[in-house]
This record gives sequence, structure tokens and C-alpha cells, in this order.
Amino acid sequence: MKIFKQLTLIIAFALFGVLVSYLLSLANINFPGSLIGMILLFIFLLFGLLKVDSIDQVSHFFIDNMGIFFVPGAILIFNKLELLSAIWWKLTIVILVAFIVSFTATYWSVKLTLYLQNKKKMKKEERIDA
Amino acid sequence: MLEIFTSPLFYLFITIGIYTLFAFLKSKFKSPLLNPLLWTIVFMIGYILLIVFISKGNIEQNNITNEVSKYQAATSIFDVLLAPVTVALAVPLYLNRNVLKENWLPILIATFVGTLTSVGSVIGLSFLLGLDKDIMFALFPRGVTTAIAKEIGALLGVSEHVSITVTVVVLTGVVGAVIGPLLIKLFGKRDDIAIGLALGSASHAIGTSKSFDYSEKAGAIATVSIITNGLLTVVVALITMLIIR
Repeated sequence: MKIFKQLTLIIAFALFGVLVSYLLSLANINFPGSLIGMILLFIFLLFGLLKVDSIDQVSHFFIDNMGIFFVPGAILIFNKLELLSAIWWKLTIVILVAFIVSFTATYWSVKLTLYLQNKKKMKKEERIDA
Repeated sequence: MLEIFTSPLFYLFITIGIYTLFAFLKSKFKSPLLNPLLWTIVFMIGYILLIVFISKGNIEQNNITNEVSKYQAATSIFDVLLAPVTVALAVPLYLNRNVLKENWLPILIATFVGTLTSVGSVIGLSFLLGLDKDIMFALFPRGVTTAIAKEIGALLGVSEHVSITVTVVVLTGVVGAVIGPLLIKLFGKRDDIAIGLALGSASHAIGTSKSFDYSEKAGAIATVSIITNGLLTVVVALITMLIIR
């Protein structure tokens, strides 16, 4: 009972998102329904319109086991084996290089931000001391 | 006799069974290389090839395609539930809302830098390596959590390559969880906020599971950045489509 109640609520948000996505598409804005559903659920939780207890068990089950939900899509790799045998090494380069580039850039930009934030804070404190 | 092993229920059983086995092994050996989705796919490819070979005596493409659609029908419940699964991502974001509030500036910076360098390097590398535009678009969401990556593929009109997107996204996560810690060591004095944001932005949920090894804080902030990064990549994809059109 409880699981189905939670599942119904989460599916309702997914459909809510699809509906909003459809309405937006009429205005020529294409935003994925599932993501609108996610944003709506976040807003509902944030403003206390929905208690997290009423969806937490099914949500955690979904998130902890997310990988399995991609199996039906990923199995289609079967139709791409020929393509992959030609470009697999290119994909490998993209995977490795793009990761290293974006990881390194993100890491150091955050370090720099934190450093500047700290410096600003220290200056403020100095001013107060003076 | 063979029908039993190709029945929808058996396909569902073997899928959940293999996935659960690797989820167990992964938590036991704490290795990102034991990613359950990756190994379920590898195993099912082998299994379907074997079944086709036993029943037909060959592995011709149309026999495989036929069996794959039977398999997809058997496991379609997972595909149907993907939208609610994506919606559920709001829960970890909500539970970490204080982390978001306290660190909004580094998160914002990491989201922009992470997304733009990710998309930028995919575009740059695709040109250098001479990859088709369709493949480039399929690689566009490489660092984004799979649920959002799938949506981005659809937005960019490359749903037919969804399997490539999913595979690349998962492999990126695995690579991130393996190489990320090495880079962190190389970078010297560690900083948990930077670690969390770099792992979350560059290698989504699989990288994030590694960030929890450093501290709760690194894990929490990585969790938040998965979602902010995913959303910004959607926006970048939408802008790209507008420009192309």
C-alpha cells in the first residue's frame, strides 16, 4: 500500500511535468517533461507542499538502483556494433580527454573561487579589527 | 525447452539477477569497475548471442534484432519508469538544500566551467577526430547523469544513438571514478568542496559515489552538482539547437 502510494505520487509528478512540457511546446519551448517534473517536485518539497516522507522510500529505491532503468535503452548497442568497431578508439579518446579537461578545469576554478572568497572574508575581518 | 530461457519472465529474472549480483560485488569490493549496468549489458549481449546461435544456428543481424526486441519488450517496465526515476532526483537535491545554499557560488562556478569545458571538449575532439555530427551530439551529454543525458540526446535529435549516449555516459563515470582520485592526488593539498564539485560535474553519479570516500561534504556537494550540471547542459543543448536551426 505505502509503496504504491509513493509510486503513484512520483508518477503523478512525472505526468505533471509532461503536461507542462506539452504546454510549453505550444509556445515553442522544448524542455524535457521529466526534468520539469523533477523541478516541480523540488519546489513542492521546498515550500512544504509535500512532505519528503511521502515519497522517500520509492525515491531512494529508484536512485540507488538507477542503472537498471537504462538497460532497455543500452541494449540497443547491438545495432551499433558495426559502427562501434570503426569508431571505438575515437570514443575512448573523447571519454578520457573530455573527462580530464572538465575535471581539471572544474577543480581549479572552484579552488580559485574559494581562495578569492576567503581573501574577501579576511579583508572584511581586518577592516572590523581596525 | 529453449522457450523457457527466452521467455519474458526469464529475461526479467536474468536482468535483475545479474544487476543485483554486480551491485553486491561492487559494494563488496568497492570497485567502480564492477558497475552493474555495464556488466548487465555485457552479459546480456553474450546471452542473446548465445540464444540466437543455439536456436538458429547462426548470428545474423535480423535474428539478433528480433531477439533484442523480445528482450526489450520483457524489460520495458524499466524504460516506462525512467521518467519517474528522473523526477526522484529532486529528493537528494532537496535533502542537500543547505549545501546548495551555503556553497552556491562555488557550485555556480563549477556548473558553468564543468558544462562548458565538457561540451567544448566534445565539440573540439569530434572535429579533430572527424566524428559525424550525429555522434558528436550523442556525446554532448557525456558528463551528465544518464537520465538527463538521455533527454539531451532526444532534444538534439539523436535518440537513435541512445545506446551510444548511455554507454559513453556510464564509461565516463567509471573512468572518472578511477582517474579522478589519481588527479586529486596529483593536484596536491586536497579540498573537499573542489573534489566533490569536480567529480560530480565531470563524472556524474558514478564519480559522486567515489566522492563520498573523501567526506560526507564532498559527497553532498557532488550530489547537488550532478543536477545543476545536468540542467545547464540541457540549456546549452537547447541554445545549440536554436543556433543550428
